[in-house]
Amino acid sequence: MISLIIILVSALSIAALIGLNAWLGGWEPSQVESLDDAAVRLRQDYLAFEPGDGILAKDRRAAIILEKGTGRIGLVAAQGDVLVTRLISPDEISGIEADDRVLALRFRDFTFPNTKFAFEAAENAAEWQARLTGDR
Amino acid sequence: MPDLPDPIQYAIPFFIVLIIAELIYARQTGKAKFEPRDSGASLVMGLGNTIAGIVFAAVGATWLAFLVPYALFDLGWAWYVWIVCFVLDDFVYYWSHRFAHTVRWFWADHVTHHSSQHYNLTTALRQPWFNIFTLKFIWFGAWMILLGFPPAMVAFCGGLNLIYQFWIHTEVIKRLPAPVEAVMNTPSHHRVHHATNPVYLDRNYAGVFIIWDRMFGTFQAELDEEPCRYGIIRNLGTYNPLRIAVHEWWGIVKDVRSAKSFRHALAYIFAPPGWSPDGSRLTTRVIKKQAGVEKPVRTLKATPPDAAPAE
Repeated sequence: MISLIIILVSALSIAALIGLNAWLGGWEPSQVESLDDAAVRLRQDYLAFEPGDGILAKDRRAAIILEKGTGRIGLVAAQGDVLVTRLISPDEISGIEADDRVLALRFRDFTFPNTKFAFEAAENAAEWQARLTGDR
Repeated sequence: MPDLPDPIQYAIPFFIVLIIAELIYARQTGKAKFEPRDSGASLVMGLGNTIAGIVFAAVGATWLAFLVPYALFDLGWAWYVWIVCFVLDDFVYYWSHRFAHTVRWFWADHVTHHSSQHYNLTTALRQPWFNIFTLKFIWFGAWMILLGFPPAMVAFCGGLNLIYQFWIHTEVIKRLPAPVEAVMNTPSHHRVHHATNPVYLDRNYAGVFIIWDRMFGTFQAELDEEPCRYGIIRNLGTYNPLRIAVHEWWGIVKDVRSAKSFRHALAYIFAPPGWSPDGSRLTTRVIKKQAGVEKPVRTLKATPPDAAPAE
């Protein structure tokens, strides 16, 4: 019975703490400032990463940078107030769809968020879809 | 034998008050970072850990009771036995924690605690749910009982150890007076432990006393020129507590399924995290070697090849 009370009170406290955190604020959604910024992040997490061509999403919430000479794809995505990176091979992308200027990516890695890239033009979305699927 | 309570249950109200205080202080000064979904994930992980503890408590208790008849001594309940028990329990914690970082089977469980890129008091409560499956209580829980410490005393000291570790998960406190930093695990020492900068990886495993790291060559001081970046090598892009709890276990399953030999399968389970047969992934040791920080350093600006552990 005491254990049940502890669990219930803890659950209520958690809800209250999250509410307090949201009410107080004090954080800002993260952004990828530039492709250089994305490359720095990738080099921090993958020491030998050599940046090649890349593209920054229009809303600066994500970036793709290809790794020179390996065919691997460097990803930087905003997650809350932090950035998350991955260095993956094309077969780790489970779904890729271009819809006008938006490229939607899904990954086999269930710990990496599905990511949408909004580009300046529809041709950019189609071009990067082709590059990421190895069609070009 | 006295009927001792679980000290962690009594500490929960203090945890909540301190988190509120840190939240307000963070908002006013900017000296700590909170994000509601990250905080929520950490707190829910803590609640899940508590529930798992209640559900599986009988398993650990049965194991400890089974060991009692085989104890070498009967050390009793004298006050000085308590002190020795607390210190030795912390020594066992050091090694248990060290293995939790260097053997993937144990890391799959412990990675949960390191999976936030934030470092605040809620991070302290981001704890695993499937601790029981590591069978760690068999390997590491036995020594104290076999020496002759009463199981209830060992469990109580273990609880005190975890309570101590709560308050060191903060960026609010920079450094404490030198004598404290020399002996005790502090926020500064533990920030290093949670950081992914190559120089900080796999350092400062201490629970309460930092002396174990100093004795066994795993101590690294926090460097002013190298701010800590928190999290894990492959940071998580999810706040889903279940995904956080199982992601490394699932990684092991996938790797073992793809293993080309029994030896590789075993290595995927028991080798250090990041091991792969072709070296395409990096272990901490390789990362530190690539970055030229295999040994603890005093400074990153001019590291002599034979640098001694920093004080």
